Amino acid sequence: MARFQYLKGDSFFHRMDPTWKFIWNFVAVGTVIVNFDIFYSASWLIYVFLLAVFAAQIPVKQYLRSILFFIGIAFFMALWDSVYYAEEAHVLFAWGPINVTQEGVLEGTGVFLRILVIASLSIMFTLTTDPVRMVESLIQVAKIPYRIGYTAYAVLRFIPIYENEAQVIINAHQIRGVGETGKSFWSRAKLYRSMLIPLLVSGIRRAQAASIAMDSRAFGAFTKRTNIHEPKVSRSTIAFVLAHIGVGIVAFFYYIILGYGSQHLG
Amino acid sequence: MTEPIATVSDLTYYYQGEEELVLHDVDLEVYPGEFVLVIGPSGCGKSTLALCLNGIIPTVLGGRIKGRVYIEGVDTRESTVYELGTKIGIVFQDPDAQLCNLYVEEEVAFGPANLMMDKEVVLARVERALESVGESGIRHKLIYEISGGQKQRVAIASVLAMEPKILLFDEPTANLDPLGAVQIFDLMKKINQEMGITIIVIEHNVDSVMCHADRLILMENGTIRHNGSPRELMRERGRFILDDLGLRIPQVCELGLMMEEKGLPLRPFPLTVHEAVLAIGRQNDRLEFSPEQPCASRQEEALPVIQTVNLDFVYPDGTHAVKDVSLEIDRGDVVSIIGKNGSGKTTLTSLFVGLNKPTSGKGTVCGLDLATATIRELTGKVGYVFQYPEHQFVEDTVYKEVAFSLKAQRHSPQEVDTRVNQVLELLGLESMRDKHPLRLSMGQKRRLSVATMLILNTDILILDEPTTGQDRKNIDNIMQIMMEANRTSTTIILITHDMNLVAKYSNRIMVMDEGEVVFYGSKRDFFRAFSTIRSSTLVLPEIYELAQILREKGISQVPEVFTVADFTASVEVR
Repeated sequence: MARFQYLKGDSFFHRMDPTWKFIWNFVAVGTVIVNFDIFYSASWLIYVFLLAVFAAQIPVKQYLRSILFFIGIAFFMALWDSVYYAEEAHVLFAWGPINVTQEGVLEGTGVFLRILVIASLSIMFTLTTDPVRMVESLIQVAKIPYRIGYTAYAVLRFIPIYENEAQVIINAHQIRGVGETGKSFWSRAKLYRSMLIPLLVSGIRRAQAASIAMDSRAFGAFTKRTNIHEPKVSRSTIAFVLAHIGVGIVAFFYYIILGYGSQHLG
Repeated sequence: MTEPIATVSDLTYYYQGEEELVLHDVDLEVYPGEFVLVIGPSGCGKSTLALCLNGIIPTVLGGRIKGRVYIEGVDTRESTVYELGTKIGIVFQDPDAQLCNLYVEEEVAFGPANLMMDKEVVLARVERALESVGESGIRHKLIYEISGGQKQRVAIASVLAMEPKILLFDEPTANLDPLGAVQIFDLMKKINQEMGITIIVIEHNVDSVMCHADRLILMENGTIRHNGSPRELMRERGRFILDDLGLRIPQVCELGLMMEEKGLPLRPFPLTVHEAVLAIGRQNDRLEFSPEQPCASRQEEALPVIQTVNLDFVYPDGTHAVKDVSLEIDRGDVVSIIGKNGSGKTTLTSLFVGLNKPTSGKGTVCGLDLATATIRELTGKVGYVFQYPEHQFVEDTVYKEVAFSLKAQRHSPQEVDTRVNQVLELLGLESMRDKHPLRLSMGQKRRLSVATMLILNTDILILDEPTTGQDRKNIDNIMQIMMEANRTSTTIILITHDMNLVAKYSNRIMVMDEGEVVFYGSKRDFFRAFSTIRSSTLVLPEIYELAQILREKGISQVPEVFTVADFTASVEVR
């Protein structure tokens, strides 16, 4: 599944500290949802798309491939909204019990655009964030206890090893004649079933070896440990995130407190 | 008299919830600066003893323990694991399981950082530790980018950064290629001599480490059987270790024993090739070597079972694992494929059973086209024994496991039963028939994995790293069965790092490097071309090297020999 996997790169977004990037993501989502206006959402979608292509250097093809998954969901939710609009409204056309209304279509489009903005934001995050750096940043920048962080490290580090081992076991079982072709649904299901126990056995053994190796190097001796690298959060990252927080506050004040926003029509 | 740095007194241990003793009545004293080698059959308690020494047992793993372990005079039960970590460090077999950071630098800094030392101190220790293992150049690399040998040296550095007095190694070279292993042993010696760190190493693969040891400890059934100088123990107990315990001893020691039995004791008893050269040189006038035997040519006409032309394979991620391989393997050949980890050995053989399809080029196995034949068709001709037997097991009893593939081929129940019983008997597994495969010992698992393939009577058998973590008795056992199959013209393909195995059993040798076959020819041609072959990992078997040096220095006219038995068969004592 290359659709949502980390893509190596050296863009502004790749270099951004993951904890700060996460804050940015959170703030941006918040700013998008304070106003329901279609043009507001559309401008955000264009802005995020431009960021994804230029500041995160995600190839347009890859972006479209990832977003396609959400377009389907967004489309059905939008359809649902435009068909089942509950309030009194101008009927555009009716087909049996289904009334398509002007307000319904507007709301549907709004929902559609919002979902796409939020999806684009999360795609940008996952495609540009190395999971291992994410954990590193959580320990050093977000100050979560290092024991929890290292557990996450271990999980991340073992994933490729297990993937590889799972493939070896599947190969070994194919040779034994389990699941014959390995192509049809049933043969794959059989292979996965027979793979589980050997994979689990070696998984437990490896996890135990890893924890012994870590314990014997004083892991968990104290509640804190020395960081040999001071977390480096660049000024441009801070400026970028602060700018968005500023925009978020203004938007919140303008649309919610002053009430200029077009609220959810339903 | 100096105080021992580690003392084990009357130690007995049961794992949590287990009735069977793992260790009993173990007494051991290790002195500062010693280099101690521990050998013993699989399951004799060596690794458990190591975990008792660094306090993981009983502090972390629990279990029932009697007796005491003292490190620098402190009882391990009254200490904490992290305090012990600054006195005694441990390096394990699997580099992937013991490294837990992203970058080399962080890995080496891990221990001192856990102890909350100042940043400057940590960084200085990282620098020193990496320098002493000769890997300063990879400090800023990612762990998953570096080779297996480098990973193992980083693991050593990460333990050295704790500045321990004792360094324990539990089969540190089992996953390494031959030269990688020799380099690790040399590094141990350097750490021992230059830094004065006490070394305790558990190994099966003893050829290049025996000569470094000050003391040899032989364990059997959970206790220490012998404890003494390697030279004396090899001379006096070598036969027992070799034949009764089924362990490996260095080839030159085996030669020493055999020469002694022939009435010509080599003195001092050799532990290295160099010592053997000197000892034989001194006795030269009593030795008479018979001239070289002409190479026995095969009677029957060579009949290729595997043929490939410009075979290429590229993994989906772009790794070009097999490059332009053209070869012919004949019926009845025993071919060893050797080369660095990641040189393409396993991928090449995976093409022969259809697990991967060639990207380009052509190939046939027993007349089946590699591009189109299914796994089922190919495994009708080729049996494949994987590196780790556990990976291949699919059933819940030994009997069902062996019967599995036969049943899949829809043989009659009577026939299945007769053949399964035959194979179980042949491999000495009859008494295990109702046991769960995963509950067998290492050697039994290996035999079972061979049994599941042997029963299919395929034309070709491929064994991937059959010797990993096995003691000599198990390896010999498997190889005898293979050679038995070979007598009925089964072609055997061995993927291995074990050069002694290569020299002893194969008639043809293939060397792979970065996906290419850089050498393919007869055993004799291989050893003659040895120094010119492009591969950075090969090591000569001791006995071959010895004969070569004796010839080159003009000491005696030793013919070309591949095994210790070849050597002693070619010599008469006057």
